[in-house]
Amino acid sequence: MRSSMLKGIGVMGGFFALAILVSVMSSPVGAQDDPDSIEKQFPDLKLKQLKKNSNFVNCLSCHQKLNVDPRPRDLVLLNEFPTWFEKDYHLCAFQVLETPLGKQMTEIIARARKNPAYNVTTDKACLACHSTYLGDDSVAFKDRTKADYDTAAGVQCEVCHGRSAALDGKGGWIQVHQNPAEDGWRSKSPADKYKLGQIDLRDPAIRAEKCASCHVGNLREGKLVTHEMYAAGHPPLPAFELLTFSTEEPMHWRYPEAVPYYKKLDAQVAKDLFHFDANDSAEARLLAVGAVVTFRENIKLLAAACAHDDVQSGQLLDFTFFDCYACHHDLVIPSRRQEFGYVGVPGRPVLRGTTTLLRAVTEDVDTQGTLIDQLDQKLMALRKALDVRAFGDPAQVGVAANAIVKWCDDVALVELNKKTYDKEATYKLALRLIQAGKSLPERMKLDPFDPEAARQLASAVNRLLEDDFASEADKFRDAMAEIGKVAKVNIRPKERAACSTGPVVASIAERNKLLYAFDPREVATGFDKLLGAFQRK
Amino acid sequence: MKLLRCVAIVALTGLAVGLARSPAAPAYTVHTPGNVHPHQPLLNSAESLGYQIPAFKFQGASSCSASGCHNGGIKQAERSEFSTWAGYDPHKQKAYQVLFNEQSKRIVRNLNKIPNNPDVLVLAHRETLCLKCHSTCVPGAFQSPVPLQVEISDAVACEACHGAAEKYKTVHYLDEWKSLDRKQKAEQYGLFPTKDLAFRVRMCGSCHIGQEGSDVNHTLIAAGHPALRFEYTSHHFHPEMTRHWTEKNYGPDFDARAWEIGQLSSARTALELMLTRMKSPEWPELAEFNCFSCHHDLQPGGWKNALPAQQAGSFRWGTWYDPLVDVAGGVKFTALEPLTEQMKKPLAKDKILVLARELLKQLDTRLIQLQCEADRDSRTTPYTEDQLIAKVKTLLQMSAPETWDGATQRYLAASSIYHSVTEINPARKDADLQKRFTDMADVLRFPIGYNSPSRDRFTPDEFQKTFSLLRQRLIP
Repeated sequence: MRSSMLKGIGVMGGFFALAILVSVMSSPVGAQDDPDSIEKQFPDLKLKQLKKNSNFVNCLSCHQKLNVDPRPRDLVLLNEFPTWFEKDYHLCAFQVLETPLGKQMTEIIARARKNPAYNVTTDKACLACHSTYLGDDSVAFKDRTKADYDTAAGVQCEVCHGRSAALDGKGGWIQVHQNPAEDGWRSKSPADKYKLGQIDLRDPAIRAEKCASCHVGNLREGKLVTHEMYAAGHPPLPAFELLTFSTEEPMHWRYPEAVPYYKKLDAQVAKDLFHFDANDSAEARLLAVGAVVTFRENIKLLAAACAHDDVQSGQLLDFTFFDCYACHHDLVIPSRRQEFGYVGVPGRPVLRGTTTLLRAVTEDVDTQGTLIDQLDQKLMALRKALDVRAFGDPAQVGVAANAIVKWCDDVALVELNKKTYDKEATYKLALRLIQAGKSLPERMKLDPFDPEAARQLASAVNRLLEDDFASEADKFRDAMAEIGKVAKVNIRPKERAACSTGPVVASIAERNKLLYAFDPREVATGFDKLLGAFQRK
Repeated sequence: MKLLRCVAIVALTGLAVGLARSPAAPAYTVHTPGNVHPHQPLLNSAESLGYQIPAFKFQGASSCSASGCHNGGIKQAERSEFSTWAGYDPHKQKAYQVLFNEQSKRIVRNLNKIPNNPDVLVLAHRETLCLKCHSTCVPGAFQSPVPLQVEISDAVACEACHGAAEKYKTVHYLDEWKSLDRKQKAEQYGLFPTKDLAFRVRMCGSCHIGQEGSDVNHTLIAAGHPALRFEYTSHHFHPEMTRHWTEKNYGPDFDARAWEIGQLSSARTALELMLTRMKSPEWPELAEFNCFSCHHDLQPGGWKNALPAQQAGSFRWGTWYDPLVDVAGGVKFTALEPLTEQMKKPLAKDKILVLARELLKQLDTRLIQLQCEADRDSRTTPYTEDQLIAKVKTLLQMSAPETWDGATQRYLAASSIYHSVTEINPARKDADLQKRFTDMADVLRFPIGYNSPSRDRFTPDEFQKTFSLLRQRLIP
């Protein structure tokens, strides 16, 4: 009966659908759950402004709060929304475009383009990341319109989890996934679920790719923070690290080892359907796979840019692909850069994106000693292509970039799939990462002088130790605190301010100060201490 | 026997010393010289300025250094040009010597990716790349054999600026010489027309701005070479520049005229350099663009060179050599604005070439006119005080400079013109006004330890405030 009632709801736009739902549901949700009350409780959620074809309220109807709803929680929590409403920045994604920083960007870009009508809140290049695309995925970005984007609730569920209803309002997975019966949704393979539209976020590689589509970029979807946007005031995108960002989102899910349902399953079934392996540390895998996929997406973005019409017709590659600090540093005497020397041609802008985490993960899985050489060769080929002239020769850069993407898919991810991150392997991975931090100054010769490398590594190590070695906290917490003074370990404050205040902005100044005070030697000293404290004697 | 033994000892010692001093092979390939006369690019440019000067052979500075000729020994006196230059001019004292310092070695190391190892020889003083500007000519640099008298350790010697002396060496002191005009002296005998400021600045620009084969580009700057930003009068009147000549061709308005002609001649030299750089497959050349558009940190509160009308985050071209050419030339160079706009898309070479060549033509035309006016008027009817004040007024009426480059050029312009004002009317010398200039310089000066403007001291508005204070003291 419940399912037929729920089936009757269909695609909805807000108030009426939810009111009907609330009125027919037998669970004692009560008056406090009507849309007006939800809006009062969560003022950043503009239910009434949702577009007609948004399925957001469908998700909200079940996943909204912890109550005495008898539906089982052995797989999903069903209380995702309060976490998301109160703490997750994704909700604020559109509203930040309306804050003073968003207005500043509007003003600067409008003037620069001599277009007084320009506004970031209606520019699809901004909406691509800062709102929810409700159109047809197969449509090329240049043919998408701002009407295809729903701005009412920032980055909604479906951006990450996949469109739950098909475009015609029928089909999809919104209905079928509510059936927890053994022969129902839970027994479908991820591939079958994906045929209906649900994205398998339990697979670290797929999750990393999805996150990276905004947090790194994806040209096909029109997601690129250009240098013009940075110059207008867009906060610099922090180096993405999957384990840290997943955990600090914060999680509206549980780590696999805490999910009761998996323990009921046959081990192979749990692995095939839910990527759960009791012997394998999910955190270590998120870190390792995340490192490879994040880097791959960065390089894929570069390759896509090289193939773009604008670049093909003679425009330079956008400066966004190059390390910010390669150019954006005050010129000083004596110059540390000049004393240090250059790997490539002096003065050439170098690629944005650090390989420190990638290299450490690759070294850890490189049992034959060949993977690192392969990676180095391909990175050197890319460096040469970038050195041909300032901002690179796009034809050569494209070739070199595509070779690296292929290596990530055909070699690195395959090797990682073969590996099990049991306790011993996780410990070795942790050690490898800490050693990478200790040797940061030498590694900086291959990478730009990028404080983001240190931050990315520090936060990944911190998360891995906290999650998988919590019983040894006394060994590493002090040393981590020391590292945290020079390389920001946590990427966001625990609590989030209201969306209208532009919660990210306050942290930018602090982040910049830390960035310019950055000295890799200080970070290396911190990691050296951590190694001494954590390494087993 | 004793004598023989002494001679043997001396000879052997000499041999040992000679062997010890013979330069060891460096650990990298020293750039080999090309086959082009070092003056050739300058001689090519000189045609646009009205001179067809052939390329003659170098004789060496020692050929000028007889005490009865130019080595009289009295600082800055006539007939003591060689002694003044040899004893006091940084072109002799510093230009070659700097190649032995750590910075020069670092440049060579960075260009050749040599590790910083004291056991590895780095010989910047033998690099043609360096010697093209840091000495007069490089042995083997062109087809005619170089006589032994030419020493690279003479640094930037007589013939670098006065022309290779093959033909004029033996005639320039004869009576008939005086009957020749500077064009004849140049075209028939190779004596560079240094009294022609337009030519002189182009000649200085061969090194101080750059030309084909002598280009301080972004790669060289990143390796460690100071960036070049040339403005003629500030170099002419630099405290370290001990001149071995007086400006007989000019009157009390020399500074102002030198500023005007210097601006146009520098701008056209820089344009020529850009045209050379565009031929390279490594174009775009980053040194063409404003350094501090990129080279500023991203801390909040800093002045970021952001100009409202500019495309946010794009290249900015022409900020050093071009912001004041209209004021200096007294005409609007119509090709400048479209070229500046077009340079935001540096890969559109065809469009840039058309505009750059047009601007070059416009600059050269006005330059020749300015020089003619200077030749004709500077001694007999120099600029009046009012005319000079009017030029400063024009500068003051301009809107706030957009860049440090623009601000500095305004400061240098105002101080050059003011210097001429005080030459014409010494009563205008004013300690308070002097203080205004000092304040401006303080705002512009890079802080200790920095090679870029101070985020705390310099903003366009702060500069404009200080600059506007000139009005109170200079303009009644």
